[in-house]
Amino acid sequence: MIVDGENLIVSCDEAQDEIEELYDFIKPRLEYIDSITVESDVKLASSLLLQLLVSIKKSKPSIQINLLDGGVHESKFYGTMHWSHL
Amino acid sequence: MSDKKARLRAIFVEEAGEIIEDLDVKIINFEETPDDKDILNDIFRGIHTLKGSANSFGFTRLGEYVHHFEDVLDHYRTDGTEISKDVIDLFLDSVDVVKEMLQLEIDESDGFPEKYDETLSLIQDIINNKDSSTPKVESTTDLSDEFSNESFENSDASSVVNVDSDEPYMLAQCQNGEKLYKVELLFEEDSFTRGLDHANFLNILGQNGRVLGINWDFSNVVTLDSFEFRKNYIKSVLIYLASSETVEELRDIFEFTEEQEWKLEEIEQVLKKEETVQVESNQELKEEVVEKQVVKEDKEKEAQEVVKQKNNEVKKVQPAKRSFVKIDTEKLDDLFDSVGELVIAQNFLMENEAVRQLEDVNLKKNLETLYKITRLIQTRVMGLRMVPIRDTFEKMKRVVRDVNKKTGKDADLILSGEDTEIDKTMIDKLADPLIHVIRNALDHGLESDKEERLKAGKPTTGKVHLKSYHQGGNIVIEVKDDGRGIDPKKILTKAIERELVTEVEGANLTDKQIYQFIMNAGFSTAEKVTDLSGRGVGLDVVTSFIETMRGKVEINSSLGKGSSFKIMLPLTLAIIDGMLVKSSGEIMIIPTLSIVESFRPLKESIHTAKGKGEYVKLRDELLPIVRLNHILNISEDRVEISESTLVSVENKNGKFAILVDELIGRQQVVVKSLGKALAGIKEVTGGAVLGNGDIALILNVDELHTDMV
Repeated sequence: MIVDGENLIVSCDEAQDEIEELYDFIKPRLEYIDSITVESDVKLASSLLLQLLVSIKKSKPSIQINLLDGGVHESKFYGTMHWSHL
Repeated sequence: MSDKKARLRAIFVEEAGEIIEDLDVKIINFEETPDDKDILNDIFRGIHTLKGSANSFGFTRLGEYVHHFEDVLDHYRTDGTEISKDVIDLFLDSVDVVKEMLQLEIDESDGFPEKYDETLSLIQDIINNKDSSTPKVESTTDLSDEFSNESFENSDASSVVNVDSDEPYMLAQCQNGEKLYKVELLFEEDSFTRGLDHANFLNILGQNGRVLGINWDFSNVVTLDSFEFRKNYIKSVLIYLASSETVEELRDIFEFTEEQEWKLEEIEQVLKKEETVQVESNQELKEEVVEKQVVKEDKEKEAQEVVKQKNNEVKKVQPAKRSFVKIDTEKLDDLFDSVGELVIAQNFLMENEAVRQLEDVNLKKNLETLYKITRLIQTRVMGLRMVPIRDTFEKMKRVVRDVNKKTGKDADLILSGEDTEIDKTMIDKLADPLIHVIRNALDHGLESDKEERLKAGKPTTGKVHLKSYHQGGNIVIEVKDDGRGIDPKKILTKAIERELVTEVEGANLTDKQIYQFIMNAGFSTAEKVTDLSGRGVGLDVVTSFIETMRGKVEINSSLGKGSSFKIMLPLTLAIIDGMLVKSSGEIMIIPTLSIVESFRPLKESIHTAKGKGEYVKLRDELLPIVRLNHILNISEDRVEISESTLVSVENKNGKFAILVDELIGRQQVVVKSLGKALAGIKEVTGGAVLGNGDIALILNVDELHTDMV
């Protein structure tokens, strides 16, 4: 996880404990974060990351999350990923 | 791009076009019947399918926009909020953006449609307001049954996103030896603490094949306030896997999970199942039940009982299945050409002298049967190209709505004869001319304001009647308005000003002939030019389009009461109903659509005007005479007119008489192209092979006597 001003950079291969750190970090600071950039050129290590990102998006719809915005994501590992009920 | 991918892309573009075309009509229909939530669900379904397919083919800009459009539709679909006229405007504008965006994607052009930002911002406003407003209520029409299938009965509607639309594409992506599998992960809330992580399974599946696509259902995910870190909120994950492994081998991956937490199925099996009558009938019954649901739980139970009961009935009685196959129109054209050849060969046979003199009764009978069957095949193959005009008519509702909005007029479009069938090739070409005629009727035909209509004793709401019917072997499409009508004097004055006709000639013209001037390029009597009509462009385009389809436009009007534009078209472009005539030994074909009558003139009715040619007086009309052999440079012979036959024909410039040696008879002929060498002869449109093997030219009546007016 890298904090770049109001942008947070996370990677798809974050392990569960790293995702928990992210959760602990973001929960009290959500209002200050404008965007989260997810690096997706690696395999997904845990789906916990996805559900956390979706929870963040549901909590603050204006936040930009490159992986989720647009409703779909083209992955070199998993083909076309559709998100529903964001 | 590989051939396969290009082919799939082409299929997508065609299907996307069809979906988008339908959206306009459905939105307008929904505006007319806002209580019919099925229409809104239908619109949602179309957009939903478009989203999935667009992204699958890398049309990401389109996919993203459609995603937002889907959100707003979903909001109204589930929220039950009343949809205002402004929202309908937004929907229609969004459809326009989708149309333009698709074209940009096809052209691989950068940029965005003009209304992209405006509509997106309005959509986002609605969504944002929704987020801060009251909680959602149940959808008035639950689509879950429709979006699920037999093997995934418990799936939520949105958890199986694009199941229907993606499977053919997914199947097409499978390479040699690979099968397509659909895997669904339905983990319990405690799955993470039990060591089950969707990501692990995705990666293992990826080692056993290629993951082609995944649908994640996040409907259970909560906001951070109530989020418990290790609790699983992912309702389901649907995975498409291309793999050469067997079902049994793949099942081993889920060895340590509970039976209810995963589902695995080979897609081909599902498709095969769908082809059976029973599944189709079940689906219909489910839909029927969905209609009856009314969201009440007790009704729901009752409905499920009905499904069960009816399923049992279906097992006993298997109704006839209607299925459809999509065929490339080029293939149909090839088939039609081949049948045309068959008909010609058949005609050769029937006109063969030796066959005519056959005395063997049985053989004659067999030949007649063969003839009848050939004709039957021809009729049936022709029928394959015929489609109802309904869709084209429905599209005109949008035109009327847009013009009403722009001009502030109030007009209703009344449709009739929408089931009239017309050649598919013509349907495609007909939309543009119809739009022009309808816009013209609304903008110029109808009175400029309500007061003017009230003064004329008419209701404030104008009427434009669009109807289609058969008349004398042709198809007529008529646009009739109840507006102010066309003033022939005004038209004639303008025509004289523009030197389209002299005052003397004008005095002899009928009202009908005068109306035809408005179809000329640049001709407009409108005092005010609007962006809809009035520049004189438009109606001449109509004429050009209709003429390419071997049709014609007839205008009728009654001052103060309204006007009608009749577009007359042949039933099909591939066959023509013609009159075979002989001139200087050559056989020609005059399309019967252009023929008014034929007659033998009396000697005293023929007149010659010095330098202006020959005329025949027919009742009160003086018709110029065209000698076919001269105009086509067949011979210099000058036969006596009174000893010949005259065929009175009518084109855009009026009536005239074609001089022929004799009439042979009326016949339907298969139109053949003349090839490049003869393509420049404007007086003929094509050729036809006759029963005796001779070639006859088909005359282009519109080009025969262009200097008349």
